Amino acid sequence: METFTKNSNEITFTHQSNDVDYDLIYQCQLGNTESFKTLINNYKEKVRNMIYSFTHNLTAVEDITQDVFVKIYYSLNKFSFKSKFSTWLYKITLNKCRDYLRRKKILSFFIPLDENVYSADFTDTLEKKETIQIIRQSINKLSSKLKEVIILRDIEQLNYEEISTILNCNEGTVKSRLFRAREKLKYYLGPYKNDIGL
Amino acid sequence: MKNEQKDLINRYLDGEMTESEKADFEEIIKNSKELKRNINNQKHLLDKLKAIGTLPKNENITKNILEMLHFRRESDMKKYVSVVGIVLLTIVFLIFYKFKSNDLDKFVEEQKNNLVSYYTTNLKPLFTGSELNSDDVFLFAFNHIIPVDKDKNQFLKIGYDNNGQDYFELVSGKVQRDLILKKDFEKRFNLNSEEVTRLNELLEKYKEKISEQIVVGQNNSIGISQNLWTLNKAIAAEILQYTQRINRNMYDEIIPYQSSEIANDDIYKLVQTSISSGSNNYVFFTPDTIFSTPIEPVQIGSYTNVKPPNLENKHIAFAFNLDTTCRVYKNKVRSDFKFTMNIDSNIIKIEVPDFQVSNIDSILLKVELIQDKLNRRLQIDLQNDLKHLKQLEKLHKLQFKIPDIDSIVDISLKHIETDKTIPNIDSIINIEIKKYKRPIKNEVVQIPNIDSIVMVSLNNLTVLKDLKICIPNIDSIVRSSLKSVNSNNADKKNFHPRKRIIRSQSSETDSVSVIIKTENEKTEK
Repeated sequence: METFTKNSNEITFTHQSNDVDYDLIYQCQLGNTESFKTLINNYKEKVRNMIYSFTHNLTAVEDITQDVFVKIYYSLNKFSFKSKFSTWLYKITLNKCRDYLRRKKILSFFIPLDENVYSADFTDTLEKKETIQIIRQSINKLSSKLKEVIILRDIEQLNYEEISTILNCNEGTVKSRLFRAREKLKYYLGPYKNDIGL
Repeated sequence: MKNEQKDLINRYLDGEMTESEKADFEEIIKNSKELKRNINNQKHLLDKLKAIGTLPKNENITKNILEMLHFRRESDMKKYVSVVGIVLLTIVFLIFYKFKSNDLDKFVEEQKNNLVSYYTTNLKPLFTGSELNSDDVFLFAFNHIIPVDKDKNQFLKIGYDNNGQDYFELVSGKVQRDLILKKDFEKRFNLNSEEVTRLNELLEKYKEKISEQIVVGQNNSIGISQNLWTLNKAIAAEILQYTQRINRNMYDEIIPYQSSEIANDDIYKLVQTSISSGSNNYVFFTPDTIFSTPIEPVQIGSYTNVKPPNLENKHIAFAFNLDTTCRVYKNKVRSDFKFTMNIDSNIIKIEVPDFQVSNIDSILLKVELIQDKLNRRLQIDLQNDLKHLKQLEKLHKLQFKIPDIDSIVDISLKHIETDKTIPNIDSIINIEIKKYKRPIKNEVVQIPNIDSIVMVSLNNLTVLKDLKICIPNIDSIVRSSLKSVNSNNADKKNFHPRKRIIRSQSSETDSVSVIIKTENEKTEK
């Protein structure tokens, strides 16, 4: 176990948990910009990919990524070291994505849908779409609760414990939603299963 | 596939099974091709899902994030600094104002006084009293104008607007027409030379006082005293009092009888007020401001040849919120107010409509009424008509149309020589008067004057008694010549061509008629 202690002029720490990010966070809390830079580099791609999985909008990915890390930076002092940093990071990322999707839904009443939003059309020919796009399109058709759980589990490869913390529900609910999400996804991918090798 | 099987497949692929569960499940898989196929399909799906989450890397994202943080820090700092700054300033100001509010008020007052003293430094009268003559003083009394610069035809005019507010105008240009001139006034009241001299002396004493009412400062400011209005009325009142004393009959005939009585004490008080040597409130015009401030007489220096600044081609009008005439109250007293009268056996109750009357000194109102009446003049230029007349041997009718007799005080026939008799006026001069508003029986009506007609020749009249003659002016008919009068009741012996007692009687038709009576007749019509 490692513990953190801080004196007025001296910093000593020993790790109290197996989260390797804790020392970086602690350094960030002391004002070490380089530590924060390291944190960004460690997680930026995961955050970007996660955001893209939810939003399918490359512009939104960069904007939301910046927002996430800015929020992290200003909230570092509130980090209690009781959970993993990654879990906390993904939770903030998910919330930002939800905000974005909510705004987009409201806007969609007034303006045409973004080009990056895929609409399901089984009559589309495969020449026009790649496999990944088909899968993303199908994921996008899921309800928000099912979409979140399938992205976090099957795309981001988070475990049930992390997912339940992020979604603020118990593991049984996560497993149940995941089961339904996969079944639904198989249904949406049914017409394409030969083409995408399912 | 049943849900239970699906759940097992998911648990197996997710690694959620225990070792023993996993071993048992794998045994089942070995023996079931369908289960194997389903597991493979599910595995393929999960592999596909695993593979779709990778975007091309963005090397700049870290730099962008750090730049954004730096920018936010700066803007937050600025925000905090400005907020803190404002809060600190507010606190400092509150503390300062709490303990030093008097100082602040003093400071503001000082600055105001500095501005006032800047513009009221080195005040001098705009013109000296010697630049005015008695005609100018008279002009001011009854026409409300003062010549400020006679060379440039600039004058100050004071007056009252419809709401009773005093105002003055600094005007360049021609003087208004229809002025009451001193010489006309003297003629009207038949003042002899001695009386004219005394009138001039009366006017002389106001010259210096008038000159003090308009001052000029060294910094392009001009100041006008609010005492001007009172002074205007005081001069008018004194003139009227004088003329009333020397020619009561003429005064009563000319001045509206309702306003003719002004107590001597009131006039004295008014005059004293206007010429008092205390401080007066002056309104100052400057290039960039207008303000009023009291000025002591000692602040006004001696006259030097200073002209008003920038008065050419400029028309300045300024209205005070001071009603020295109670005109606004007078307007509320309407003549068509209905009085309700209830008569019972032992009581008569009269309900008087409610109206407000100012408690201002009534003399000012009386003087104003007189000035108003004297100011309204109607001119009939008979010159062209008379030229025409002269060419005719006979003229039976000569018609004048006078639009509104209500406001007529005098009619002055200009351009007519007074010693000329008007020829052939034996024909009826019929004045068609419309809108005559006093059709009240037996009321003595003020008849307009034509003071230049000395003689009216009445020829070829068929009726003397009950003769209805419509004449513009009977007031100054001194002589009348009655020739060839044919009347059933005429008694030539008793008819004397001298001044008659004149009474007028208005009819309910729109005309003014005059009945000339002989001295022997006592009954009235």
